Amino acid sequence: LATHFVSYVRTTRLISFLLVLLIVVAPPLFPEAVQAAIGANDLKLLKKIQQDSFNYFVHYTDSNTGLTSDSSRPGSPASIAATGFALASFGIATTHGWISYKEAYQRIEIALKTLLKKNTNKNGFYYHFLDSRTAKRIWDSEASSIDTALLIAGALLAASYFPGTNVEKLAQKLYEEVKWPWMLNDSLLFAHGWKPNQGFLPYHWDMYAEHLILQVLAMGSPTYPAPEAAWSSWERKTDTYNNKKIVYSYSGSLFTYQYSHMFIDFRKINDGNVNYFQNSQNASHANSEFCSTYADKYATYENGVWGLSASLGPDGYRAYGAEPGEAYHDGTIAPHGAIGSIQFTPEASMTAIRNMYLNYGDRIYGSIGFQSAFNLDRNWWASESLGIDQGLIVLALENFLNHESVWKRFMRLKSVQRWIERADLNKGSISS
Amino acid sequence: MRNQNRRKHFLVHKPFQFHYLIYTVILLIVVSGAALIGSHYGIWGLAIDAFSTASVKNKLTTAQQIYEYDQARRPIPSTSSKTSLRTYGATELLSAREREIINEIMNETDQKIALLGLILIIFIGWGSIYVTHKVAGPVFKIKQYMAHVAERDLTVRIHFRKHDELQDLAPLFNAMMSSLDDSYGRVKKMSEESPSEKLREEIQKELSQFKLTER
Repeated sequence: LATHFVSYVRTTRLISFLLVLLIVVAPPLFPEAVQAAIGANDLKLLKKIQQDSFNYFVHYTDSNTGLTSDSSRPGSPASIAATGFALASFGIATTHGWISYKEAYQRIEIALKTLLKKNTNKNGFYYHFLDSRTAKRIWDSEASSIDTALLIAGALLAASYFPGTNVEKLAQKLYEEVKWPWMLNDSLLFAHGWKPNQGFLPYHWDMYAEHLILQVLAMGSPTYPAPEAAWSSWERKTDTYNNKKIVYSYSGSLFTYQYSHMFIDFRKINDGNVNYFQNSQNASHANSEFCSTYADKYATYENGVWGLSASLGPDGYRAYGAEPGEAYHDGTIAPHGAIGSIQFTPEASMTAIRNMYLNYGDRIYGSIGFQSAFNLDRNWWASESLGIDQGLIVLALENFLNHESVWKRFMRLKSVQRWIERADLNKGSISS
Repeated sequence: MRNQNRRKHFLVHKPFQFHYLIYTVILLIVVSGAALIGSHYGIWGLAIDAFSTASVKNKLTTAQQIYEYDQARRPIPSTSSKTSLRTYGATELLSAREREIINEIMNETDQKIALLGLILIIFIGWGSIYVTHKVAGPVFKIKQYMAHVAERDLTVRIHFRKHDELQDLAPLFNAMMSSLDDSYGRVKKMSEESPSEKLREEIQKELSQFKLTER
């Protein structure tokens, strides 16, 4: 009897433990479970936000060159990062019927042909800002490493929606022409960029930031791969916030924990003892909690509204962020901050999204989705949306609402698998 | 004889010359007008648009924004970047952009001038051919008719087109040819019908009507 009792207790404890594990661990790792917990009206709202945000790319992409404006402000130049997000979004749009397969194909093909034909790059690295009409380099812009990575990632994702077509060939050509080691400038750290009259910029991707996607594509390149040592050369600075251990970025800005995660599914990839999905989850929670802590000082942060990320603000464009990191903030919230973290913090993100839409939608929401940011304390409301913000929203919501479809497509790329092998990942244990 | 026919005035044929004066003036007005309108709207219009208040405001905003994008990516404390530094950075960018715009305007101007030049060359070329055809046509015809006359064909008569120049030359030429044709015709008839003595006299009488080179 005693043996049976001990066995019963053990079994019960095991079941209880498994149940607790399922409740605590499963939702973050399996957003679909959380998605089910989010109400039908919330899901409807998220779908609306995704589709409206996609409209940015329909309205602000030049029909002749296929290049996408950096901002909805008149006179804004085309940005290659925004163009990358546009390419990805056009691919996604075909699965929802927002535009026809043919229109999406044509728009993507035009953009890829423009980029491949015109003198828009240096050693495959594209100039950050181009004239959307002529595709010429403007604003004395740099051949940018991170913006090129976002462009290539967008092109490769777009190509996955059109397998076996010319679009796939062009996207692959765009990728294969990038001479990634050149941007290392005889070091193991990628430079931020290069200018014709200045050479390499004096800044490097030397600590955790949004550059993981750059590392992935560079190490996975079939033509000009970066050396394996480049992966381990950048510093993983660690700090804690509210007992959450975080490999943090300099600014502590949310976008640094989000951009690469739009494409790469880091849930099952461990870099030593770091899991970057969990890291972004911790950073997103930290951002939310940081805002909550300052809610008595800044009215914008009230009612569960959070999202300190790089955005326009009353004093210009800033890398707003939370701790750990520089944590510069002035009460300005970027809606794309909370939305971009929806796969990490679904419930906290949903609360912020719902409240922002319901309370301030009349000031910051329009036919192309949310405007860049707002600040209640200074009664400031952005009058424009940025392409990279809207792209982040489209991709984040696609992963969240549509069975992680972006992750599934992108993780199937040979280049991603090559990066995992060359960076010697998946050998560590997850630490929370 | 040469002295008798020497031209004493430039206006030897007023209607003809004034006609061509009008043609040339109209052509020059069209060419100058096209160049003026093209440069005003196409070239200076670009410059005026590029430096309009709205455009300058937009560029200033973009310059600030692009400068701030760069700053946001760099490991520099956000609070350390003073307004004066931001203004300086944005000004540098704006200045670079203005140079790019000037270059763009110059390049576009070169292209437009080249295109306009090509159109004008085609227009002037076509105009020249059209106008000269009115003179060259009759001259060509006269040359052909002269060739026939040189081969002793006295039946040729000139017929110019309605708007051809040198219209007054045709009746004179035709009268000359009729006269020759008539004379030679009569000489031919006499040689066929009259006895030889009388024929010689008749031929000499007929030929005496012509002024011929002394041999």
